[in-house]
This record gives sequence, structure tokens and C-alpha cells, in this order.
Amino acid sequence: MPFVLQDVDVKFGDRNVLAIESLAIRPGSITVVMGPNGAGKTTLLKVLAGLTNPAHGSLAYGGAQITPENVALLRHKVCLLHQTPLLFDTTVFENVAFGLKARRVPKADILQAVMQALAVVGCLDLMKRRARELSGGELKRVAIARALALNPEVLLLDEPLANVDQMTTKALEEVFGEIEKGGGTLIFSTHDPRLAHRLAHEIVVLTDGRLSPSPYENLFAGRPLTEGETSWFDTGRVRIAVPPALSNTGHISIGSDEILLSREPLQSSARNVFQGRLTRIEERTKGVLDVAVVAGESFTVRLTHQSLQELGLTVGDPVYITFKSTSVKPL
Amino acid sequence: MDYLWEGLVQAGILITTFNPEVYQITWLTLQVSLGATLLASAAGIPLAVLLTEGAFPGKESVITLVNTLMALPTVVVGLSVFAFLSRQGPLGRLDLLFTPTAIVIGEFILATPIVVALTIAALRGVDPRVRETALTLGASRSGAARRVVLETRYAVVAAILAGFARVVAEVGSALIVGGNIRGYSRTLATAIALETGKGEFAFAIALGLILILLSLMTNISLRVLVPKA
Repeated sequence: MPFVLQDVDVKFGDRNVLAIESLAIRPGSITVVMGPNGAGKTTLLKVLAGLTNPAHGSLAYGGAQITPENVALLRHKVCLLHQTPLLFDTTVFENVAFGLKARRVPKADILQAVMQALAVVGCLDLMKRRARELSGGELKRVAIARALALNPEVLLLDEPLANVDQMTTKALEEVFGEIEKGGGTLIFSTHDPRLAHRLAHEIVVLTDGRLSPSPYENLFAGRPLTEGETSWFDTGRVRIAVPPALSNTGHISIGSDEILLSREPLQSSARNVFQGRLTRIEERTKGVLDVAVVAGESFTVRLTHQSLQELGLTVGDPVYITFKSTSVKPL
Repeated sequence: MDYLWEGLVQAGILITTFNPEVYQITWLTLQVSLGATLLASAAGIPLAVLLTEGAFPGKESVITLVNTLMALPTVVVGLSVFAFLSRQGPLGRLDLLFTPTAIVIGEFILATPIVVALTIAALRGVDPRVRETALTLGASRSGAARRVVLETRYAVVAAILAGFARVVAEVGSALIVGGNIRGYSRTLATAIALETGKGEFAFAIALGLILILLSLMTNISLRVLVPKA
């Protein structure tokens, strides 16, 4: 686990801007922090970057607790790209070289790394220019190169794709590719659910500084289709019956509270009944479990510990899942 | 009005003929005021960084105190330094009273609050992203502070210049602790005060002109020398 947060609270004055009971972020993944403006996305990124000290709670990276004494080590592995990045009032070269100099990289290697990073974002010709003379798009690309040159284990990006031109989007995609290829971890914030679902392996949803049970559980991409009177959503692995209004969406989600688990197929009005196998049981909160069922796609079903005991189910058992078509929500 | 005109002509002659006494006084003034400004900057800028970034109880009170010290009367500083350096004073054994070093000490005390207060004002105006960006790029705390000061270098240079302006033409403290000893601890400002009193207007006007030129040159050279980094 690169990041594990436990009971992290951040306060600005008396206001609690972030209160996270428990959060773990897998290495080598793309995690998206989603939520409306003011939900605490930027604050969470700053905590992960070692820039904001939680009022209490613990942050661990790579198994080591982060303290004010060793936060400098974290900052050498993790880099945050601000939503509106700032370039220092010097040359483009000095900007991109800044972090390398802080790491005492030999001079000859610095030039090479700077040129390489600038080339990735298509800004090699700007190297000798002063940062203040750049256009908005150039500024953002140079800031991206500045982070890329450090080859961080974790790259944190605050709303990276908000208000950016096409070249910057392309540069960012290059960077995402480079980080992924190197086994690095990407964490970025956005309020755009479509973008989140296109790129993310994991989605963290924040509302008023707290982790929300994701409204996007059992999230599937696919295409809607209509056969006669029936509307379906085809994920490529399963066909899910949906209300007719869903004919336009490329993503759906089904609340894990709304899926029933049973040993035998249920006789009910619910249109979706799938046979599958129980593959994992995890305690979500005290007495409440998340159970993974693979039935073509992998579904998460939430139920109490007591219900599961009464059903007498365990990992590996064949099970049925049942949900109504009206439980299927578009994104 | 003739004596004024005569004074100006005499001043021109004294300056252009490189009158040794005029140049000795100018050289000493430059040495003590630049020395004091340099020391005040070396102490004041880091202090301003600490007062801006540090979090400790009573921080705002300290800043208010520094702001108040900007208006410290020069004669009060002269008096205090005199008290410390005089034979009976706690530092009397150092034999510093009536030396250029004593003038530097007094001027340092006068310039430091100005450098600190104006640098704090400059640093508080810096975009908070400067420090955050430096830190997230891997800079140490002192490295980030250095970057913040560099980002606001024009305002910091203005603070240094204000400190220099405070001391280069200062009379009260320099007179009390320097003693205005001819050829040894006489500065432009103290010499002007003395020569005016003696009725030597030409000499006083010559020194006054040089004092103004000195300030001008210092301002110009510092502006040119502001680092581009």
C-alpha cells in the first residue's frame, strides 16, 4: 500500500474540512478523488503530498508513518501538480531543474532530464524563455514537465483536465502513460464523473470532507440496446435489464444495498437475476459486509453479518443475485 | 544670498579637486552605512522569514513591536548604545565608543527593524503556492524559504534600500556614539551638522551634494544587481 490514512482530520480554524476514517490507495493504480467544489479534494491531495498536516490521525506511505521529521522523504517520492500551477519567476530551465537540484542530481544529468521532460510535453523550444513570458497552456505544460522530470512514485494532480487546451490534454495523457508504464501511482481530483470513470481504477468520493459510500458502486461501462419492449444495458459480459429512459448512457451503477443475495433463484418482480459465485467477503463497518459475487461482471452486494450467517454462505459457494431494473442508475 | 551661490561653487571645487578630507569622510560614510545595512539584511531577512512562517504564541505582538521599532528615534538609539559602550557600561571594556564600529552598531539597530518589517510585508504578499510548489518539488524548508525570498526579491531589495536610506544620512546616533572625530569617525551627516554650525557653508554643501549622489548611486547599483534567478 503506498498510502494508508487512518482517522485523518484537517481543520481550517474551527471548520473541519477533511475527516477520513480510513482510506488506502493501491500502488500502481489510478485513483480518482471525486466530489463537488469545496468537498475537500484539494485538501486530501495536499495531505497526501505532505503539504498539509492533519490536526490528528495518521498517514503512512509504503508502510512508514509520516511525521513532521520524515515528511521531507515523502515529498521526494510524491509530487503535487496544482490546479493552476505556479512557475517560479525565472527561466523555464530553472523551473524544471528546481526539484532535481533539490535532490542534488549531478549537473550533467539535470540538463538531460530537463530536456527529456520538456520534450515529452512538447516545450523543448521554451527552455531558455522566462516563465513569466509563457502563455497559459505553455505554463501548464512546463509545470507538468517539472513534475515529470522528478519521476515521482506518486503523482498527485488537482483537477488536471479542467480548462486545458488540446495540447495540454495530450501532454497529460503522455504523462499518465509514462507514470503507469513505470509502475507509478496516479491520484487526481475531478468533478467530472465521465472522466473519472474513463480513467480510474478506484474512485474515492468526498462530500463535505467525508468519504461517501460511493454512489458509483457496481459501476459498468457498456452500451444500451432495445429489443422490442425491453431496454437492456450490455456490458459485454452481462445484459442488464434497465428502465427505458436509460437508452442514452455509456455508464450505469447499481447500489450495492439494492442487490439481494440468495442460495436459490428468487420468485419476484425483479427483472435481473444472475447466477454467480461468491468470491470475497469483507467487513465494511461493524456488522456490515461487502460481498463480491462474480456473475459475468463482478458485483458488490452489501448485507449484514447476520444475514450472511443465516444464509450459511461462504467464499466459493454458488449464489444468485437479484435486483430490479429501476435500481439501475445512469451516470 | 551670495553666500549660498559661493557655497555651491566652493562645493564644486572641493569635489572636482578631490579634496582629501571630503573623500575620507565619504569613504567612511559608505563603509559604515553599507556595513550596517549588510548586517541588518543578514540578520533581518532570515528573521522576517521566521516571523512570517513560524507559528509561535505572541507572533503578532513581536511583529507589532518590530513595526514600532521602525520609528525608533535615532538619538535614543545613540543614547542606549552609548550607555552600553561607555567605560562604565557593560561593554565598556571593548573600547568601542567613539569608533566607526560603534557607529555601525547604532546604525545596525536602526536599520534592522526596517528591513524586517518591510520584508515581512513583502513575504506576506507572496502567493502561497510558491512555498507549496517548492516543497512538493522536494525543496527543504530552508530551500523553500529561499525560493519565496527570491520570488519577492524586488520588494526585499526595496526593504534593504529603505534600511540604507535610514542610516546613510543619520546624525543622532552617529554623533553620540561616533564622537564626530575628524579623520576618524566623522560621517557626511555629522560633518554637515558640524560645518553648518561653524558657518562653513561651502564645505557643508559639498558634503550634502555628495550624500545625495551617494544615495542615488547605491539605489542604481542595487537595482542593477538584483539577481535574475
